[in-house]
This record gives sequence, structure tokens and C-alpha cells, in this order.
Amino acid sequence: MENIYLPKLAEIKEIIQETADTKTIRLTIDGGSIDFLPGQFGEFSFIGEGESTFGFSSSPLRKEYFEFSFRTSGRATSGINGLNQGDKIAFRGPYGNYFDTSKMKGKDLVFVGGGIGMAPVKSIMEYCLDERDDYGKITILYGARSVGDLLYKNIFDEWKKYKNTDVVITVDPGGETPGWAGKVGFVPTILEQLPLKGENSIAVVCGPPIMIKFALKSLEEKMGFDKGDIITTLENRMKCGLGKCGRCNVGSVYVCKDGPVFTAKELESLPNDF
Amino acid sequence: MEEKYFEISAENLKRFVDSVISGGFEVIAPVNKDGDVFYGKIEKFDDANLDILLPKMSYKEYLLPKTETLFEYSFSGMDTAIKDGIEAVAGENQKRVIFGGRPCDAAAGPIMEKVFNWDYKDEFFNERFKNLTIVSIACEKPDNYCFCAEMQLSPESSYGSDILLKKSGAQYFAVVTSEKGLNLINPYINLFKETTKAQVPADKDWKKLFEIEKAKSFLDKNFEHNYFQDRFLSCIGCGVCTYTCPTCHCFDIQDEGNLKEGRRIRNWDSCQFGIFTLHTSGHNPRVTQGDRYRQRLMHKFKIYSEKFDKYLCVGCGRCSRNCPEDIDIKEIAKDLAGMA
Repeated sequence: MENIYLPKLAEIKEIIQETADTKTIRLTIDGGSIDFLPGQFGEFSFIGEGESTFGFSSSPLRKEYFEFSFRTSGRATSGINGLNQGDKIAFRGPYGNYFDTSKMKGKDLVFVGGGIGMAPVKSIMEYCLDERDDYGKITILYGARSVGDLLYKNIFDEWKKYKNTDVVITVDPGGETPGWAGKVGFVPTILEQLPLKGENSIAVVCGPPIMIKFALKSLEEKMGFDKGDIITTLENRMKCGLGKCGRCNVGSVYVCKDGPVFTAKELESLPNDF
Repeated sequence: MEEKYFEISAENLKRFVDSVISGGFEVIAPVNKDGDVFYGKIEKFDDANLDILLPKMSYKEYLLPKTETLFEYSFSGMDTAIKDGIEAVAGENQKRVIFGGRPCDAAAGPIMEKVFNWDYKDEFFNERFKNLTIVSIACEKPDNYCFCAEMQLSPESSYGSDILLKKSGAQYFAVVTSEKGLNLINPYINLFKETTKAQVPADKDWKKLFEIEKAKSFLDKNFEHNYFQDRFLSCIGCGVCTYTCPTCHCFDIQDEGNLKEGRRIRNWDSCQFGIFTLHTSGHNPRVTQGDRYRQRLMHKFKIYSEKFDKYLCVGCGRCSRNCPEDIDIKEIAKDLAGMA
């Protein structure tokens, strides 16, 4: 009999302190990554404190490790926060659906992330960058409340190295520091200033609900994106990740099974339950 | 298996149950406890209280315990060891019989089974469900909170029972629906007399107060309807409806232990609690008690039926009988059907 709730132990290969209260942790099982697809998620736990749900933030094409980013806020994340390189984290997954990269091939791509919502965007974005020739122009827009709240600062330059790839980083008004070279403004505002067109393009958007709401509006109304070409991920509270514990549903849709990846068109048909 | 039919006298039924107990089975039946009636272990047939309609709680806990261990863990220095909990459930319920439960409670098993198997297989549930033998007694007098007929069942439904007993004068007819049921009576077959379906009294024509399909069609179109916010202002969010429900299966997963060892457990949870859906950010998709009771109605009468083509409710009425605010789900479903 298989126990679907039984985790595996994963070893911490590297810890990156992203901001004062967020970290990215790179894990290995049997010395490498696991099979997953961009957009999927897993249940990560500090054993003794409980499980938390996180989307993967690394490209599955990078086989040396798999990673997730988290903010320390509760029992499980406080436990994980206290771990060191070489320590073990319990993991089960991957679960859920994923970004359909076959529909993205040959198209211009826009990746829009807000705050820690950049984590799942980073997975699909780096997946596309890893196979750069398969896609058209790539635009990356990432924003956070302040400079201190930006994750992945150490790899912005790496993203910029890819050909035909624009990287735009912004912070909310008041969140800039002296000498800040990036943009100042909310993500949807900056998004509207970018030279983007909806035709032959796919947009991936993830961030706080309010940012998603306005970014979707900008993409649809100002830039002419089709609702089916805007993709986002939902982040409901989960326990099992297996479609049984009964809390992540939005209407008849289970985020853990039918999601977490949805198009704006699919979101439109869901009741206001998220 | 093709159904088989038997007659058995009241005295022989008593002998049968007592023999099953002395034959090594644990028999769970309605018993008097703390001034009320609950399902519990009986030592002999006479311990069972078969005069009441329904025990306070269903026997859900024999399929999905209030708390169960998913795995155990221990720490040694920097090393963590995990011991799978699935082995502990192997063979559970093989020697357990539920006797004297009602058709509504029996129907809950196969209804929950679909949730635990629609994709990932939950073997904790499956092992208990597969092994448990259920001998139900058809209801003669449902009360005002009952609405199993509306839920596509009936006070005489054999759905989910291995054996359904129907009282007829001084004797019973036994409808045996499964191999498990047949295996239970086989050693004592001399107490039974085989008969034909024609001899078993036909089911009565149980009246329905409303059509559940209509309630569903209202829910299909009216997520934002004011009814939910107004009607459930009185709900105090205690969750008793979900805990006493035979089909509510939502659960929480927690770790409990000390610095040396512990276990990861699954506990009954309730969609009526705010924390059930609370995000880390503080955002909560279901803020009001209206939002939460609406979720319960949606899950029972719409969401489940869209996935599995039945309803996540057997019409036992326990949520209504036990509600401190007298919120009667039968009346609510009737309201919804009426507004469709």
C-alpha cells in the first residue's frame, strides 16, 4: 500500500538570503533535481512543525537542484528558516498542472511578477531562457514594495545577458533608495509604459491579488492581449495537495488539481471565491 | 454480486449478532452513553439500542478517524528518520461489523470513497472501507429533520450496506448485497431462511419535499445571491454540522511531538472555520459565515455532484438536529429549490 502523504527527505544544497525575511533554498534528492514542470508545486516541511505549499522557483531544465522561495511567517517556515546547508527538508510532490510551453513556442513572452509572486514566474521564465531560441522577444517585469523587498537581485544581470531579452525592475513609489537605477512605480503602471502588443504574445502574471487584477486589466484593455493568452497562478491555502482535504477550491475548481495555473479566460468563469 | 434475500426471526437475529461477537468480531452498534446514543462497541446484542432513529454521531470515524497517524518521525543528532504509518492500517476493520446503523450512514461510505480515489488513492481510507462490514436496519419512521428521499436515497435504501434488514412484523428480511455480507452470515446460515425478492416487502413511496436538482440549478447560477449572507447571519461557526456529518471529510494535517520524536497526523477539519482558507498574507477568500455556509452547500449539492454524479449529503439531518442555531439544511435546500 502506498502512503500518498509520505514525504521524501531532500538535502539543502544552497541557501540564498534574498531579503530580510525571504530565502531561496536549493534542494537535492539522490544528488539532483526531481522531475517537475514549471508552474507545479510541492509540499515542503520542517518535520515537527508541519507542511507548507510552495511553487518551484527553478527551471526544471537545471538538473543539479530544485528550489523554492519562501517568506518566514509561521511555524513551518520558521523551522525551515533555521536550517543550514546539508540539513534535510521533507518534501512531497510535484503536484498540480503546469504552464503549457508548447503554446508559448515561437511567441513573444512577457513575464510579470510582484513580490514573492515572482517565484513561480521565475521557474517558467528561466525554463524559456534555457531554451532561448524557441521563443521571440522576452520581456521581464518584476516589482516589489521596496528595493529591500526584491528577490533574486543577484541574478538580474544573468537574465539581462540573454539576447532579445528586456529586464525591467521597479519598486513602489517611496520604496526606492538613493542611487536606485531601476523604475519607480506600481507594476501595472510600469507595464503600460512598455512597448508590448497582444498579438502573437503570451503573458505570465503572478503576484498579490491586487496587482494581478490591475495587470490583467492593462494587458487586456491597453495592450490587446487575448484573455486566453494571459496566464497566472492561484495560491490558495492547501493541506494535502491531492484534491482531498477540501479547502483550496474556487467554486468547482480545485486549485491543487485543476490548477494552480489558469488563463485569465478560465479565471473569468470562476466565482469570486479566491 | 447479485443480491440474496433471507428471512430471520427477531430471536435468531439476536442469536446471530451474539454469535458474530463470540466468533471474534468487534460489533459496533447504537449504545446509550452520557445520556445520549452513540455508535460504540457492544458485548452482546442486548447492549444495542435499536429503538432510536439515529445515534448522535455517524460512524464516519471507523472510515476516517478523528485523528490518525500518517507517519512517525524521530530525530537523532542532525538525522531525521521517518516511519511510514500505512502499515498500521493494514487489515483494519477486517473483524469489525457496524450493526443497526441506518441507510443514510451506510450510503456515506461509497460517497466518500470517490473523493479518496478520484486520482491519488488514499489507502488509509480504502483499507478501512474495504474491510468494514455494514449491517443496517431500514427506518420505519424518519423524523422531521430527515430528507434522505430528497437526496436520491430512501429510508429503505441498501446503498452502501452489506446487509440491509427490513423489519416486517415479528421478523426481519435481510437483503444481502455483497460477498462481505454473505461471508458474515454463512457460518450461521441455519439461522436464516433463503427467500426471493418478491417476498421482501416493497419499499414505501417516500414523499419528497423538494427536488435536489432544482437546488443545484439555483446554486449553479447564484453564487453572489444575498440569500447566503442573510440566512447565515445567525451561524456561529461552531462547525458541529461538519463534525456530525457522515460525508464531511475535509481534513487538516499537523505535526505533533517533542524534540526527539513525534508524528504527522490527519485530523477532521471544518470549512466553517475562518482559518480553513486563511492565506499567509492575511487574505481570506471566505470572510463571512455566509461565505462559509455557502461553501458547505456548494460542496454538497453542486461541486461534488459535478465531479462524481451524486451528492455529498445523505439527508440524515444530523447537522440540523445538532445545530445550536437550529439552521435546518433540509429547509435551506427547499428554499434553494424554491428560488430556482
